[in-house]
Amino acid sequence: MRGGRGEDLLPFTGQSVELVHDVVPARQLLARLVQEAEAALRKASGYLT
Amino acid sequence: MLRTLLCDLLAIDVPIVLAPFGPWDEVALAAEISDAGALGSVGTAVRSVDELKIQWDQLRSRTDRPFAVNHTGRPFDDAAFAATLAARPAAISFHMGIPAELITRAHDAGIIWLQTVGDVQQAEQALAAGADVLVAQGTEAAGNAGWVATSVLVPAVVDIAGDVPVVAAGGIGDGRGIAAALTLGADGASLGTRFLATTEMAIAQEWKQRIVSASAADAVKVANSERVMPPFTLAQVGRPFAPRALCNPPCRPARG
Repeated sequence: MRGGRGEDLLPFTGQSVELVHDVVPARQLLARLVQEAEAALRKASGYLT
Repeated sequence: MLRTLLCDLLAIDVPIVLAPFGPWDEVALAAEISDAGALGSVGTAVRSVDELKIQWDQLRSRTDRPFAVNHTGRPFDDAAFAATLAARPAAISFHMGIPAELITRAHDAGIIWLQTVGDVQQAEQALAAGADVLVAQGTEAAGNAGWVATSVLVPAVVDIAGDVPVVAAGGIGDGRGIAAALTLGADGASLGTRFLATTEMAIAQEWKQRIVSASAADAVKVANSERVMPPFTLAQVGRPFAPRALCNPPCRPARG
């Protein structure tokens, strides 16, 4: 763990791994997450009549 | 624009939290995330106080935006905690244990407390102990987490949280999950695994590639993890958390 190789034994990873398809810069990812969230919320609000 | 009351409390621009990664170095990632307007986090596990101070200095040289320093009860390091109080980060996040006395010490230092909870009993105790934010972390989460699904846990915690903001964690891999968290009543979302697969995260490329190629079924609660994990040194509330990881032999998934 101290040597930064704890992942040799236990690479902590969650079930959301199913949705991870790329390795990207953090700022780019954050912007994408916000855009995706906004789009999903707008789509959901469109269901209201 | 995406903004909730969590943003007002933490002085951030978007209601997204970078999950802490224990012993793994995430200073560069946390700096980028905080500087971009979300809440970056750094862990403290197995690091000396001198190492932690260097990390915090590095973080502060890269951004003047808020960040959280994470501590856990597995094991709890009082020297690292005291050093954190002296460093005065915007927030302390805590995992595995609900230490009322530590929350008081953080508040005395003007630091906001984010408490991870894995069930309603823990949430009730965290509220009574004065937590400023509840991080409702579902069993889907990477690392040490509880046993209740995020989709159940978040609204259940929201129902009792009152004015205390709730951050959803566990199983959130993209913006749809963030939107779902907000729809469930949360005021923000914490992401861990998704942020591991970033350019800045200081883990092996091999691990990042495994993340990109893995499926949800590969991320399992690890059987007999207590044989390799540090012991809990703070009292745990309810069933203790256990780690979820990509299973490397001789690792075996837990049954049930």
